[in-house]
Amino acid sequence: MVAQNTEKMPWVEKYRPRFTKDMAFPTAKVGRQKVDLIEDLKKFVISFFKEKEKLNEVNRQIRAHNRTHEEKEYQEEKKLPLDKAAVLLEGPPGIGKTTIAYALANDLNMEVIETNASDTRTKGALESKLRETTKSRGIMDFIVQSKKKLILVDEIDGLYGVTDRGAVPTILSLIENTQFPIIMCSNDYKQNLQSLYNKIKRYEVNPLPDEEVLKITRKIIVKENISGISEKELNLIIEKNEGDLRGVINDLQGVSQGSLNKNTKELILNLNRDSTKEIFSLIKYLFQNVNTLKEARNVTNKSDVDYNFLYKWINENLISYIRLNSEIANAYENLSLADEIFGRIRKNQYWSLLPYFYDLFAGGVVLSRKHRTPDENFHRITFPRFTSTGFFSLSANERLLVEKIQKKYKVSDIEVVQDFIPFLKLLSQTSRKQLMELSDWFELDANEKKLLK
Amino acid sequence: MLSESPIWRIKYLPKTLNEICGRNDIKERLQNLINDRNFPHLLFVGSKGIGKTTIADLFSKEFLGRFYDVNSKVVYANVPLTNEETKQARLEAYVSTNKIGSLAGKKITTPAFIRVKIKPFVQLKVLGDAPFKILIVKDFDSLGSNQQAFRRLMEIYGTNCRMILITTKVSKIIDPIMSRCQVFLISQIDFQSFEELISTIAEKEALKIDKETIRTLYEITAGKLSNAIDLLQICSISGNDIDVDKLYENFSNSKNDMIKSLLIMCFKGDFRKARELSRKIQSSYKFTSQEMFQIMLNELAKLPFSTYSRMKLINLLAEADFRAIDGRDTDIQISNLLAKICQFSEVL
Amino acid sequence: MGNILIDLESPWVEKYRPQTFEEVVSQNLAVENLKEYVSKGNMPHMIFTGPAGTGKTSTALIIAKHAIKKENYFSNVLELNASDTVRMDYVRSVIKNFVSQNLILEKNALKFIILDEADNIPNQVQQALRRIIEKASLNVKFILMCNYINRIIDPIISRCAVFRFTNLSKDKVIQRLRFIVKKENLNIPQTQEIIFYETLFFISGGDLRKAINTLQMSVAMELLKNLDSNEILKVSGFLDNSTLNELLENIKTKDLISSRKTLETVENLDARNFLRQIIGRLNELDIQPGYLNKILSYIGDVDYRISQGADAIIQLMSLISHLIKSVSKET
Repeated sequence: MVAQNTEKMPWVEKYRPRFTKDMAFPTAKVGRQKVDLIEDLKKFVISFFKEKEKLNEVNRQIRAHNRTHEEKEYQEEKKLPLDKAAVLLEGPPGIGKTTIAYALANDLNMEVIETNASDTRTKGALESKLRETTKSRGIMDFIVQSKKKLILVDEIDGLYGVTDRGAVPTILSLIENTQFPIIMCSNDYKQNLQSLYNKIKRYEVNPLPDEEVLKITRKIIVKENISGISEKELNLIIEKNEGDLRGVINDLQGVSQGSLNKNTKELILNLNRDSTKEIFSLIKYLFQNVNTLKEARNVTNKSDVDYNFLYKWINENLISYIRLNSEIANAYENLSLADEIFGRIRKNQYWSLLPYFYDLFAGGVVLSRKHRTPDENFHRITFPRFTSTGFFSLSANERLLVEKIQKKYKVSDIEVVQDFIPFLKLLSQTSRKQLMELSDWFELDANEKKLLK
Repeated sequence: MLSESPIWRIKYLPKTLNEICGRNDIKERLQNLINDRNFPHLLFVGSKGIGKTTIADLFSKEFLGRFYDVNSKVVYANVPLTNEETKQARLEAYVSTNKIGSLAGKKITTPAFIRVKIKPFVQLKVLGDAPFKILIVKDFDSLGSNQQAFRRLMEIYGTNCRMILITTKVSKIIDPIMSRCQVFLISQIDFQSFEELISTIAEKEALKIDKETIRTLYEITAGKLSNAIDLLQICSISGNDIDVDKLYENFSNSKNDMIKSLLIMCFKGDFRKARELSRKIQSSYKFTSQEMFQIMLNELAKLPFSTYSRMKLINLLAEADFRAIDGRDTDIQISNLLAKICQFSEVL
Repeated sequence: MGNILIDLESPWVEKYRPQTFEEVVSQNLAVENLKEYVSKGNMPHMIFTGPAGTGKTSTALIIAKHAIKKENYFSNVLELNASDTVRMDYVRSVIKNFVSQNLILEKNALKFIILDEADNIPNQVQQALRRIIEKASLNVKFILMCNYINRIIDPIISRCAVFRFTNLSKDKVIQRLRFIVKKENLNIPQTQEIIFYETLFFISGGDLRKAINTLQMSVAMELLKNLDSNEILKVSGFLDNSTLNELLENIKTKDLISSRKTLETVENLDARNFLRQIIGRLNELDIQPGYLNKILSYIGDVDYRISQGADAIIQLMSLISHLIKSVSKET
């Protein structure tokens, strides 16, 4: 990792314990029993590799057998039992789940591959992301034969479609074929993940008690030489965050590193951890109170909001705040550049470009505005209702219609959608009879027929 | 039965190679190949919607006769794999059967698309009394760097299966593939053949249409047969007499029109409305940003702008197009262009 | 006249690939040095760099063939193309294993690893490769091939001898083409001969592979019957001369709309070829002083953008509008 200017480094990173011995011990429960989380996890990882090696040997023999036998005599390769391949850490945000994984990895001289399940839309994307990360970072290691890996899948309960059927099979198939031990993290108990809970070990991790948190924050205050925070304010921060250590440290950093003007302090102290409201306030704050690039950075740095979303919110809402065409054009120059950079970051894994992305979509956009409108404070912030991925994506109903059409008329999806269906719509609109004839011939059902009207 | 379809463009689809409208030179060459009962790999090149796939498919049908169904397949190279297909692809990474040498027993992976959609077909032996199978790959250029892997397939399975590759962008095809194919440049339908076919349709559908009108039809639709027949059908709803006025009345190429309105809206400086319209177009047609920009360039030519404005707009388009290549959010990239045009309109 | 089929087995580029050093079309010094090395058996690791179609792969294969007995070839030579292997973890296992395997018992047997398109290997992997090259025993030789030597990391370059292949001269290219034409018994009308070969050379830009492919394609498309060089240009993605002239006229008269129409008539446009043609004719355009460098710079931008995936027509129209702006006002 590139050595960063520590002034700019988030304290959450700077003060993250690197080894398990540096951690305040988190307690956890499995079922009703209290366990030593770190010991358990160590055992899990070590046994994984032992079991895997045994398994590989068995499979090697099976493959040798298969090479010299007829297909009907083929034996199937064995797989590792699920509960030896993965564990689940469940607990509210900011209590140290990720930290444990990283510290554990350091202890055992392993490398962590982290991926976040909630910002991928489909199983396919998640899989390819996992595949991607193990490959692209791993080539070097593969050749030089260094560290083993630990896979960390964060926010597994945020997997899109977790409320639909299919979530658990998705997760299970990820575990089935893994080459490395998996630690999954989730914030909440989810009813429909019940079958998952039956197959792998689930640790309910407890938040740190307030006194521990206080200890840690006092250490940081000393190290960072902070003087502007009163005991009362410190307690307020700790209380408000409800056991979320990350939140506390972020707030601490925001309050002390910010311009220390009253507004920033107030905002941070009053900001609710509830995401949507937080985004609302964040955006309002960005547009109403931020006047310099540094301020913009502070606000976005301290925020927990996923940048994937934040910049789409800005896209959606900037026209409420910026009215002049010249300023809109400026704002979009910055925003589109941010999008392009973001695309390159994702494509080539150039994560060191992330700060530019932030600067452009937050500060760049906001600072494009020179003129204010009098009715500003009454703007409603709206959800980004329009998300496009650039891929040719059809809704389920549309897809059914396209498939029905393609049964009789063999052309590509794109041609059907862009060329043929508009024509069908035109034709259907001329008369009822036409619509009937069409849908009869294509054998459309009521839903599909509706799409043509 | 296709010929009973209420939709004319399907009803009048050519059923044999001969019935294809125009392109007599191509038809002749293909007929020769059929007579020879042999051909190498083929490459069909031509602009969008000109009939390449139709011709390829009909050629394949005639070549293979009654063994067409089992021995021929059409594959679209630019359609992303479904989840099941990707899963299947991973499972099928095969183990090299070399017994010695550096590749012995090693796991080898070829691009998923090829593994799932192409390989199973080309590996299976040809069935019945046909010299080989035929695989038609549409939008071949979208394979990009996977063309190398494809080329190996062509080498290994060439005797069992011939490929007909279809593309609009010949410059994207790599040389090793080009040198293994016989190239066919498919051109637009000539007016004479077009006229003949339209007259035949008019007769069958009891329409009255004169030569001048057919000429106009040819021009409006740029010789694209499917659009021409569509237009004819729409016109026929309001009566069997087709004249030039009726053509223009009914000719709404709605997607192009919408984009034209979009441009006009930007020129009036109303960003908000422009973006609304742009989003509407996006959700109906699922355009990528590049596709929208292409249509915008076309529509630009039809609007009454000064040369200076035109040039400026073209430059804005070029910049926006480049930026959108790596961009992830189509809406942001298009909004960027719209905003710039709105700004420019104020300067005038 | 029946179709001249392309033999499935051997495209001409393969069929006429040089098999001996003597056959390799002029690389002069490079080849001479190589011949010496090979005969002495005392070769360093090598990097062949230079533009496409100039003989790098052919030479590498010749070297391997000369140094290794035929029956051992398969197991002593490893041919890899970087662009399709470099992402896979078997680069580690395959190359490493190959380097350390002692399959063949002959003591002084040489082993070759031929890495094509080495400049596409990402830097991290090159680092690892360098270690393998370092540790490889004396009887293992690496031959790397690349188009751009600056994409190869220095540590690797310093461990190899660099041989630069250059673009082939017109005479040599045409000489080879004539050889093939003779061997294939092709009929080229005498009056058209010179223009034909010149056109082929222009299209190739010094890339012999491209020239041969274009020759073969012209034959496959039966263009030799009524030999028209313009057809060959069109088929290769260039503008034929009349269209090009028309376009230049449009630009001179500052007519944007007609330029667009002219561009539309080109059926098989390869934007980057078109750019080469435009640059060749820039001096005809009478560009205002001070604008020429801007135009050249913009052409570079357009070339880059298109190579990255931007739409060719949009970018070319933008270039044309720049050209129109910078052309002098006289008619």
